[in-house]
Amino acid sequence: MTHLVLSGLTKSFGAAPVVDHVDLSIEEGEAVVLLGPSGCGKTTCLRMIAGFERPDAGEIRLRDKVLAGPRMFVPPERRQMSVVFQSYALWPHLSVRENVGYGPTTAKASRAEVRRRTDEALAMVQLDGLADRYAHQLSGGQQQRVALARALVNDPALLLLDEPLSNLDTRLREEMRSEIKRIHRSLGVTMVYVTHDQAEALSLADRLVVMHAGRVVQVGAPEEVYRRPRTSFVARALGATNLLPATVCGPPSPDGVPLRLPGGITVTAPPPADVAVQAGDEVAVSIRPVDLRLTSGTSSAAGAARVSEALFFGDHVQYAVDLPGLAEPLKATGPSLGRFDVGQDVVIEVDGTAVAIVGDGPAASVPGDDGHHPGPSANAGASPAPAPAGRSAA
Amino acid sequence: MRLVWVLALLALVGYPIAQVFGQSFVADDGGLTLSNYALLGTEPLLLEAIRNSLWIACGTVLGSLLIGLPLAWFTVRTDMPMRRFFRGSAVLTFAAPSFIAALGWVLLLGPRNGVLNTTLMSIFGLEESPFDIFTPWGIIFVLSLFLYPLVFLPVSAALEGIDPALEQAAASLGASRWRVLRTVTFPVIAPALIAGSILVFVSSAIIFGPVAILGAPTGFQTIPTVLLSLMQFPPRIEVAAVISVPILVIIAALLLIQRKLVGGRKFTVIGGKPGRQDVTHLGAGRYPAVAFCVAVVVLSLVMPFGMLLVTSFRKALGRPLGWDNFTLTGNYEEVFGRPLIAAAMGNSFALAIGGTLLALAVALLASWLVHRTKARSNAVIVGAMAAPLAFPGAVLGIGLIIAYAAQPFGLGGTLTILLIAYTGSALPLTFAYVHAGMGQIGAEVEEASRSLGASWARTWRRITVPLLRPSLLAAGLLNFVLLFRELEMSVFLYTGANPTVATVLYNLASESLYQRVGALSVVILLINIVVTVVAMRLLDRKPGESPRRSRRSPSVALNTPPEEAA
Repeated sequence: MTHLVLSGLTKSFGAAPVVDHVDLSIEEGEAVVLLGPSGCGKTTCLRMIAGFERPDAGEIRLRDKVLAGPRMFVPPERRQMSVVFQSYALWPHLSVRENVGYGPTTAKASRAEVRRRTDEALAMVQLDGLADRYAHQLSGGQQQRVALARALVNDPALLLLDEPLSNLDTRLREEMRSEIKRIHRSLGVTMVYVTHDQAEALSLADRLVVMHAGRVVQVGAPEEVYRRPRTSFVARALGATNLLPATVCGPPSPDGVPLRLPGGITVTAPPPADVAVQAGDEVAVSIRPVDLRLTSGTSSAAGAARVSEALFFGDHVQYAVDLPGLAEPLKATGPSLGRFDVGQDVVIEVDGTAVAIVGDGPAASVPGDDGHHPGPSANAGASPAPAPAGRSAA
Repeated sequence: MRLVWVLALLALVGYPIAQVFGQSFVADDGGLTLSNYALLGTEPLLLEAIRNSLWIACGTVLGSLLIGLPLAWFTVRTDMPMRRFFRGSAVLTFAAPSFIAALGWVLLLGPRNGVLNTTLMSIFGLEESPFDIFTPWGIIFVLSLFLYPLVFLPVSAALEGIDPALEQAAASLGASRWRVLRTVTFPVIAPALIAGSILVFVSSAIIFGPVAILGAPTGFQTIPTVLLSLMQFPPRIEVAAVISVPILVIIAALLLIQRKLVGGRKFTVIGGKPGRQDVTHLGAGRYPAVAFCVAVVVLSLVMPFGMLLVTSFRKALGRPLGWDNFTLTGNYEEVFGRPLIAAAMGNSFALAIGGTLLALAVALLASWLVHRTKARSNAVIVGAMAAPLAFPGAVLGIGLIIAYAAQPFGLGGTLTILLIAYTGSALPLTFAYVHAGMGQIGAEVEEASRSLGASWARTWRRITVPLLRPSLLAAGLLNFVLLFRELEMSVFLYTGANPTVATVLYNLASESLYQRVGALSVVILLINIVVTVVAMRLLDRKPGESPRRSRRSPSVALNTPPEEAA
């Protein structure tokens, strides 16, 4: 059942639109993650859902009830949404129990009821026993758990989380990530989660919404968005990647698009979702470093390259590999056993399913690489990249 | 909300001040004229008052620098013992009532019966008394002892705030200690020093209490005392208005310069990391340094107030101190036996509490508007809340009389007009505290409450106000203490029907009833101290606060941002 609907949601601060005609619908029980760099409008979106900001235009509906729209604004206290803030926003003058019990107390629940629900919520976040402490006596992770319990105790129609883990160190962040996942699964609460961290986004989302400059640029299951980014922006938002120019070297079919990559590598990539390509087109592709397989070999074959940098990380090695015809070295990740050394000749192999055609060219996205693609691309004579198509699709 | 704030500020400050400007252009026949301003050049009394004010102001600036600079350096950058104590007493001086201290000095250095004078005369066999407090020098002396914290606080904060690397860099390049002081330290603290001096200048040029008490016997008049005489029968309000306008303009200009110099930075004594900076080892120089600091404390606090305490137990002023001249309760009974004083006590309590609460309400509203709304006019709010700083009590008092004393308001000689005056004058200080406190509270703690189902009002009651408690208490306490003994405006608004303790005390002094002056002064000081102590207790008792923070709160209370309290 459709739970929350944003339609044409728009908000400007001063002249600049921060959220620009965002449409999104969220199903009951779903965990939706808004991902994007700072300033992309994701937090403003969340604050409008919570009722802290009034939209300039557009509508927010919850279970077919209009929360915000033209001539309609429901204040935050009547929206039944709980917010977990980046700063936790625990009240320092109240104990853990009073913080968590604030919602039921405000709703004038009986004393026994408040106590029962508070204990339940604290048990849910595994903080029983710390109820009488104050915020400053808790660690960062514990504070975040209190904030979570305080939000959950109200049994919210929607749980909103605004970068809840970014103030924690790496280890605690991983721990809290699985904690939030577990709570979401066991309570089935509908959740909107805002973050700029792709690991959080990919692991927590049922559905991932990538935002850029106030707009939604791609929506989909995490794996789909990761494997098939529609733009170079989305490709990079979800982790390290190589953005390369490629030429469509044969007629595309529903089974795949034959591509010739720099260095003479040919692959058949899955067809892009919303860009029409034809033979001879210049396109941009995204390939993740882990999908570039390096094998030792001699320089006559296609994909012959040379290792220019190798950083050892214990469980894996990160390479920079020079491929003839490319100004920038390629990023590749390989196992730490049987590693290659700097200066060693290698052959790059790519599986076609790991190649994603993105709707905007490298010219628009890779700095320092614009305008001069040597070799075949210059001879092809086609327009450098089908960027306009990609943009309008976003 | 915004409208409520605008109306409140207009009623409290804007309208009266506008009336002062307006009145200065009104001719005798009711038409508009500039001719009133011609009086400025022709009235000899006015010219003399302006000259006297400038003279007092310059002398006091010099005196304050002579006291404040060494004290700042000793307490911040040397290993002199008891540094914290001296620092604390400087802050205390700031809250002590200077016109009451002036009364103490009259008893000590009065030319005929001053206790110090008679003592020195008998010791050295002098024919005449060596000192006369009823001179411009006496005024400068007393004012310097009370206004030096305005130099001391910003300068010591600046000294403390200097990045030690700046000085160490100079020293590592071979500069001598003196050269470092001259080329690095002094330029860095210069803005604070000039800013403090401007505050002393402005405050001493327009202060009423001590000047009125010490200048009256010889007819020495400065701007505020002339203003008062102009307002008394037969009132020449338009002349008073004419003098007020240029004063307002000059003070506003000076305060703007001062703001520029401090660059919006708040001066606070706390917060410095102790032991960070190089400390000068004074060696044997410790003794003169301590002696100097002790002298400042004794002269500014112990002697004047001690003298009043002693006097409050004397039967007669003319006779020497001794058991036969001792009465434990006589003067106090006499003071409290008079219904006028009992009424004045009640009035002062009610007005101080009322003014404090109203100012808190307006300040809360203003800082909420600034911190929680995004309107472009918010910068105006910050400026407007500080504006009363630029209005001398005398001018604000005159403005209130013009605005509200006559019909249709008919508030002349009422407690209401005093309440308006007190509230308006308390705004800058209150706002400074509340605004700073509000800045510490993120919007998110309020939003968290809203999203959990609490209304705006409940969020304020349960979250915002409790979190603001230290700031509210500090501002409230300080304002209560300052308003309880407010004289500068009260003396203009007093008609006999609305006595306060300060005006009663002032009248007792004019009638030379000094034993009663002593008794009443002691009572006022006691009330101030009790209120301070109780409030500090309240500040200390904070559940869920780390002990470090709660211990700091009271010191915050006393560390008045000097610019706000001018």
